[in-house]
Amino acid sequence: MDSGVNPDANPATDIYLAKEIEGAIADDERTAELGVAVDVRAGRVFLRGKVSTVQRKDAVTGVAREHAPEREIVNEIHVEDPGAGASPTTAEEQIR
Amino acid sequence: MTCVAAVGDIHLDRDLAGHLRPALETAATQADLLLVAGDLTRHGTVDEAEVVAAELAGLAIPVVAVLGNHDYHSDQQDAVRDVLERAGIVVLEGETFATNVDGVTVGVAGAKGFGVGFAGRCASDFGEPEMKAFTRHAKAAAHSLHNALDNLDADVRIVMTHYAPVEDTLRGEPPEIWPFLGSYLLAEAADAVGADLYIHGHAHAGTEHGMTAGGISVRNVAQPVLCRPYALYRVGDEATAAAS
Repeated sequence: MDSGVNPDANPATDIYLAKEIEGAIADDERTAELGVAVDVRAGRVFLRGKVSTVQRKDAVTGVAREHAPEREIVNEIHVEDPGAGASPTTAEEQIR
Repeated sequence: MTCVAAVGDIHLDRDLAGHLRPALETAATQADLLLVAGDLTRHGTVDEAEVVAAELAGLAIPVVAVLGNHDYHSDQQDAVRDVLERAGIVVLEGETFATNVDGVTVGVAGAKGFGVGFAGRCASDFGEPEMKAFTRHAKAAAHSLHNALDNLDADVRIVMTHYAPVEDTLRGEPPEIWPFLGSYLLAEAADAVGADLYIHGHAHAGTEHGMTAGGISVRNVAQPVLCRPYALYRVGDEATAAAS
């Protein structure tokens, strides 16, 4: 039976791989995303968080892939358009 | 009463050109002032600043901003500021802005601020030169904010920094990184002089609502926290308006 676990998986060092990818996503000029969390489980690289466009989501996958070419990249990042949701009825808060 | 629209961490570049503009035009019909709490760009380049300038320029209300750490990333912060100011955006760094709204003077004291941590759990001015430089920059940032507030002559007093002044609005962020997200010295400066509202950004996973020890309402308006294009706050009361 296929366990679904990547044979390259190494729980002892995957935490360092996750941090390496997370750092690269923050530092790389193509991404510069500080709000993406990276988790490596059962050999797979999970990307989670929020970005503003589909292009930015794809760029994050690209940078992650460069740092873990042998691993499956699972991009669960949510795309949220910052301009969406404005309306003339946006609630005001009274500051006291 | 004064209504301010506020948002931070819009992180614009060419990808996002035009996305925020319709929302901001709506904000200009609702609020008397738009506050932008830093991290206007992704990498702090002049090219990105031009996108920001186009997005924020020519609104029907004053736009007042501070820069954030991202706006410093390419070491072009002076040029970034210049691009924004040429588009009519007010940029504050230890400075103040005031405007008259229906006879009430609304003032903003703003600065980028810096991290250092919070009372009992912060960096100290001791040891290696790098640690002392970090701590001294935090002290200088708070001093600059204090001076700006001292110079602010307004009926409604608003403070704005990029970095957070309290822990309340960082809840949701890992506590281990709080010293890089804010500084109690900023709250101390605001409490020493007094203000009606404190706006900040920077902590994307934080919480919108908080308060300084001295009772100033604090709002984290980082766009990922708001989950809406901007927040609207009513500041002051009818008595303030009537007395002016």
